[in-house]
Amino acid sequence: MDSTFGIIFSALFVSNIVLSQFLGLCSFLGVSKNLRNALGMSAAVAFVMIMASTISWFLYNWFLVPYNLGYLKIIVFILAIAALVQFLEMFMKKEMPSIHKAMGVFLPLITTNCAIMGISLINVQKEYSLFNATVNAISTAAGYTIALVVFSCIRERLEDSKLPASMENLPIALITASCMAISLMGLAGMH
Amino acid sequence: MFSEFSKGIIKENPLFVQVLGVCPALATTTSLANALGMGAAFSLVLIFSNLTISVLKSVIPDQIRIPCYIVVIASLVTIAEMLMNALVPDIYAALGIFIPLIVVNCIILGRAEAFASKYGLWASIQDALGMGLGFTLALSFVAAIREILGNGTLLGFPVLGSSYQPILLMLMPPGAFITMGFLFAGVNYLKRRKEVRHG
Amino acid sequence: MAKNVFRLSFTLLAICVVCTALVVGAHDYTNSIIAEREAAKIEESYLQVFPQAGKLEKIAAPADSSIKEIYRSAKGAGFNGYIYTVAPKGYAGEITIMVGIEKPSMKITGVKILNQKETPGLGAKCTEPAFLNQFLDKDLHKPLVVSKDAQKPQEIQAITASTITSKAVVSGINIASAHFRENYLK
Repeated sequence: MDSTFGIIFSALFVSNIVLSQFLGLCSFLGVSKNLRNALGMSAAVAFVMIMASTISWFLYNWFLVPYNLGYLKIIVFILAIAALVQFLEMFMKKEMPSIHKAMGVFLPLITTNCAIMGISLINVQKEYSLFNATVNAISTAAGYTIALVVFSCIRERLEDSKLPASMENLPIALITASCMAISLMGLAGMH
Repeated sequence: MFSEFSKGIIKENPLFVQVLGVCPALATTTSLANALGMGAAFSLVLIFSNLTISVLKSVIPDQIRIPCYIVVIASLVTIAEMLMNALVPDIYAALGIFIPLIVVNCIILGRAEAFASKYGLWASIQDALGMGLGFTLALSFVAAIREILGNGTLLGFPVLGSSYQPILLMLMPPGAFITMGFLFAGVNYLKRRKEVRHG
Repeated sequence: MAKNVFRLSFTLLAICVVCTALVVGAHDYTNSIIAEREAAKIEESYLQVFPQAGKLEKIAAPADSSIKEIYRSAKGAGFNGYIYTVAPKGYAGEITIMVGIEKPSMKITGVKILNQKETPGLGAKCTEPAFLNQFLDKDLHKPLVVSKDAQKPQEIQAITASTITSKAVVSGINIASAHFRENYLK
């Protein structure tokens, strides 16, 4: 049994979703060129991640487990996430146009963001209670935001630096991510 | 005749040229055996998803094609996961959550949408074989570098001699990022050199 | 419009049904293979950690403890040993350890790591015989201690640069032996 504090600390730093578990890298590398986009994407991911993990927890523990259908979880989760994203997009467009404007462009990308699906699957795999699953989703989203925001700030500075032409953009971004991952390793074993 | 097959290996390599599927490329390349297992699972799913979607393309109405693709891919991934668990348990345990996550791999949905839904059966299978092989080769390349430097072995056999002190960092997350960073720099270098040559 | 909606839903439903049927078929096929293998693996580990095992019987493990399972082995008139499965916290998540303890000598008959996520090349060395064989025949009347330079009989040599992992494994075995002393030694 993982303690709640352990879950929070490990999701924020030690096993950071992006830098140590390698989930959600496409969006991490794709939208981190400036801080504005990074914040928009983080908000969208956080929102969907928390909702998706709660929904998938109920689907799994209330519908799949009682009928011994746990092995259908991949199909059920991906459909639930796709439907959720679609629904959110329509709802936001109609009811909250200002928020939709800020994070709408990121929403369609989220269905195939492996961080969302990953958290739903990890919650099930570790047999978390609903409370711990939600705590895990919230702290993972916070960990994603921390990584993305810090990373995009570094990348904004990198834009002004003189680099060998072949290292520009993706290569230097990956090497920056590597340095961030090393710094997080220093915290391992603390939880 | 095999043009749809060969393009996926170098010219449109999913990982190095299209920059798709970066997550599994970093996470499952701690050893060559893992990379091969991941590549095999991935290729299997891709081949069958391209095949199914190419066959069903006239049946599936345009408005609901994405949900249909997702259902097909998710079922194939579930089957692949169960087969791996039964037949190659060690690799299954090592790849862990990344097998179910093939379902959100952009390459598979991308090939379904961009290729299999437009072309015939034979071309779609060729396309899937090529893309699958291209991705597997790319993963194996990354994994070979990490395994040799990080453990001094290749597929478990010692290659660098006993005096070699392994760079453990290469097997850990930072090593994955560094390896990929330098490989992408190499790809950029080759691309730029080609552009200069062709003026 | 209504007809179109009907056609769309029907196609989607048909695809879902066919796919699910295929998945269920694959599940039935693989399930027995997996279950058989798992059972064989567990059976094998019992014999590895406690070669003298007689008839094994699962007994209640304490709640709120890292002890996951306890089996007792019946041979002859009484019980000749116990097998504990403990899961203490290591450097990266739980380490699942199986340990066999002989009765009445209270010596370790074998230790096996069932599951661990320690750092490859460092903590992951806890699965290697070089580390695990140290535990063989250790007397558990007193707790074991981790040492950087093991000399005394109660000491276990730590894995180089992986003190947390070494301590976790030893603490797991100490939890099992403490439970054994309290409950079954008499």
